[in-house]
Amino acid sequence: MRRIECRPRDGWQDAVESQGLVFPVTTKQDGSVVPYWYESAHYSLTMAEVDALEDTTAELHAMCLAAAEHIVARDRFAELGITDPAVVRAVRESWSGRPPSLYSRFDLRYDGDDGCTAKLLEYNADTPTMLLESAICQWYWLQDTRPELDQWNSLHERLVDAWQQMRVRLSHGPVHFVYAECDESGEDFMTSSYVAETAEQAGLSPVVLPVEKIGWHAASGWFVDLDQTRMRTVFKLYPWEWLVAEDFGPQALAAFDRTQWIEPIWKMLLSNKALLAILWELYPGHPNLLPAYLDGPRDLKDYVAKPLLGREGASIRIVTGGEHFEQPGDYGQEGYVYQEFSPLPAFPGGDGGGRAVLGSWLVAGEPAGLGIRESDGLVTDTYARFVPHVIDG
Amino acid sequence: MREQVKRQRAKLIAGGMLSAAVIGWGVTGCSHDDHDRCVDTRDNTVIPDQYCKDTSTSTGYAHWYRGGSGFKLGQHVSGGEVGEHGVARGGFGGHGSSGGEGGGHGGGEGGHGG
Repeated sequence: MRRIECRPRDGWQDAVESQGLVFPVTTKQDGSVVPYWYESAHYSLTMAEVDALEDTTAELHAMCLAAAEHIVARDRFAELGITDPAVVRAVRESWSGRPPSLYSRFDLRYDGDDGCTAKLLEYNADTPTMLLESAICQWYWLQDTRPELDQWNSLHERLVDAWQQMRVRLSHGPVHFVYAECDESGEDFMTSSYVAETAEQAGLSPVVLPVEKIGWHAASGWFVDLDQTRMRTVFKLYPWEWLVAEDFGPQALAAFDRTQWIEPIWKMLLSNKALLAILWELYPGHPNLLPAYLDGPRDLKDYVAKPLLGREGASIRIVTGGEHFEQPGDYGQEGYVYQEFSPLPAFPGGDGGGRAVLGSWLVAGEPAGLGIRESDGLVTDTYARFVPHVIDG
Repeated sequence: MREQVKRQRAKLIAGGMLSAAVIGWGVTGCSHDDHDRCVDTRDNTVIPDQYCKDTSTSTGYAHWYRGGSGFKLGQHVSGGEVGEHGVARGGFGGHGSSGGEGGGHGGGEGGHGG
């Protein structure tokens, strides 16, 4: 994998905005503006690399499903911080029935040229974003700039196909898409709307509304939308650990057999970073895993302490070379996983280069595409930028 | 064959709903139904929310009210729209931030980012 600097398209910002990306740039706290969509460089992978990454993605997903089965069979919910019996029961039932899952994304450390295999950093299995830029914006960038080349990207088609396959298992009526209205960046709204569009292309009837607007009609025992239509199928860009802990959590669990949620609640098993330690326990020494533990860093000299339910890089601690780096945040009360620190590879460039992390997508459990973010520092935080990729060679 | 699959992008439409979403996007903030209030439809005055959430028939006069004027308890409402009875809202969304994992502004869960 190589990083290649290139000339951005004239009017690139208008282009990606017209494709739905509501935040082509990021305004930092000091008022300065940095690009989120960054096409002054791109990454170039060979087909052999993509094939290998695709195989790795499929294998990691199979391992994660085996880990989920292990957690349920061995009743290890408490190690994930899941202690509410009602939640445990719902996850068990969901896992047993295995209702449809739409999508997820692995974050991988990969530096390509040194022959090392990709390493799993974490699994965004419940509410992954970065979808529109991966599926749409970088594809149009490829068509505009390098139409003769290829890209690891069948996301859009697979999402539409997944909805079509799923239709037989969904109740009649509209599919509701809910997002956090409080996300002022618009990212959650944008992602939910894009997923709704793929559902519409599959012949379903989507209704998009903020999660805050969901109504509970106690007399009937149904969640209802603003028109009082029963919410039978709900795609939620809102984490399960939040849903079950909020005021309507008991209703969500009580109405579990009525409303079908996507992603399903069994995804709590995969989106929890305790999964990293359980994977290492089940597959010690696996080439695509980093050592990870729940009870402390053990013999790890350089490690990252990640909150089990952390987001946005908040509250993580990096210990390397005897020094500590800590990100501010409010997570961590739920516990930490301690994962070996493997710094993101730095790709040099006249523009300063970047440290890349690969987002390897799955749709309906199948590898589906790639999105690459890069950052200036060790942590891929909210100021990371999305950089498109090509397959060349 | 896998190469072929990666190339297949016969139909790629980013219009319709998504365009509408982008055009319509604005920072609405966390309003939490600031403009929905419970109203006694017998005299069109604002009453406590609990009456609208109550599912018993004895409070069938209590309906949510959207738009128009009159927001404080006891105030007369007008110019808005009478809504439902027996539905509670606002029970989700209390975390007040993005629920996404790993995009630009909202997520950022990546790398060793947590």
